[in-house]
Amino acid sequence: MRQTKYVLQALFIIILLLLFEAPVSAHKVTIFAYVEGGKVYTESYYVDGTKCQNSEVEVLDSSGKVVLKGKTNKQGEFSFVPPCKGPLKIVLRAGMGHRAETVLSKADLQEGGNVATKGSAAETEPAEPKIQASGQKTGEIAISQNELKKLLNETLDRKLHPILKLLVESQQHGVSARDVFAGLGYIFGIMGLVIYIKDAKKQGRRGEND
Amino acid sequence: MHISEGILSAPVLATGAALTVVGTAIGLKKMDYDKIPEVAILSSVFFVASLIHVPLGPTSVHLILNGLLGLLLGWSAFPAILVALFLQGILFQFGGLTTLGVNTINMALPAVVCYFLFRHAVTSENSWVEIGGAFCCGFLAVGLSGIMVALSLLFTGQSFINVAKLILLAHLPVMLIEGLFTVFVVKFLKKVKPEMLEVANATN
Repeated sequence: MRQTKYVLQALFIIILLLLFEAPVSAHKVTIFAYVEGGKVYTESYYVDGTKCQNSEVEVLDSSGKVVLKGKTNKQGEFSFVPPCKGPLKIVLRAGMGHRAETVLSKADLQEGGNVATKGSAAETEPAEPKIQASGQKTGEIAISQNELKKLLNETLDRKLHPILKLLVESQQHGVSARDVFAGLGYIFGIMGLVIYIKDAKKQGRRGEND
Repeated sequence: MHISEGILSAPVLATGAALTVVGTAIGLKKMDYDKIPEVAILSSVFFVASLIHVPLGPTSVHLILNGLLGLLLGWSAFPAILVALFLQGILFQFGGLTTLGVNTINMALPAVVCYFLFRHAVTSENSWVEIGGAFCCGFLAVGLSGIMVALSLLFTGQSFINVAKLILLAHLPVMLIEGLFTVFVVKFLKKVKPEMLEVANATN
């Protein structure tokens, strides 16, 4: 019994050691998508923050038909002009049974700017939202309301780009130590439960024999 | 090697779940009262091992340790792996609840197979047989799991040979590490508590 204790202790120490060495692995993939300037940007990660390079991305329309296909670049990014008004389902396949999906609703797509009306080819290189030179015009030149709207949209898109990126990055978090300890706690809780049930059975059997 | 949700078709999921239920039932039935803490400890080892990550090119793989679990637990590896995978699914979103059955059978069945293949070898007096058995146990269990994952993906239209090749190639380092790790654990247990290996044989 004493030896069992030592072995169990040793094993437990191994677990703890593993725990502190563990820089969290990939066994989950995540894909984030946001709309900007009429274009959809996606970023894909493994749970440890590694980017999913050269992974397949499929875009499905509301009827489940694949409308667009592409591959992520080295930064795990993939962007495209939405071929229809949405809602769009974006599916990431990172091989070996890894898969993640995200959905962009119609509203998401419209908020992000003008939706392209015609299907257009996907771009794999993420492009900064285009800023037109007309943005410099200020002062007395009369600007129509529409132009102003357009200018504002463009400026906002440009200014918000880093913030959106940051948001996307902060949403993605790996495994926290809290979860790991919670898991270990559950396992030992379950162990207690099983011991209790088996013990109760044993006692019951003993009671019958008496 | 956890298969995510939404990839496999319903029949594959159902088959996996059914086999897992059978395996877990056998495991629970064979689990002795005194062995419960050991099962729990090894379940936590499995739970944590998946966080140890071996970066490998564009993708990354992690330790699995199902060979070790099989060797020490026999059929009880089923409940141990089931609980650990369930918690990984809930807490880390590895795999998923619908694929729990398939993922459990993929990792636990090779564990049990390796237990029956190598349980005698690791208790051998001949230290070469012992080391070889322990290494093959850790090595093969991961390999067999890879093949089972490829088999599960077979019905999704992916070519079996390609997927199997990819998975086995990606897991080769893990297979080697686990083989060595199993040798180390067997050696350690023989010194500290040889009954742990023997007992596993006697009760199953």
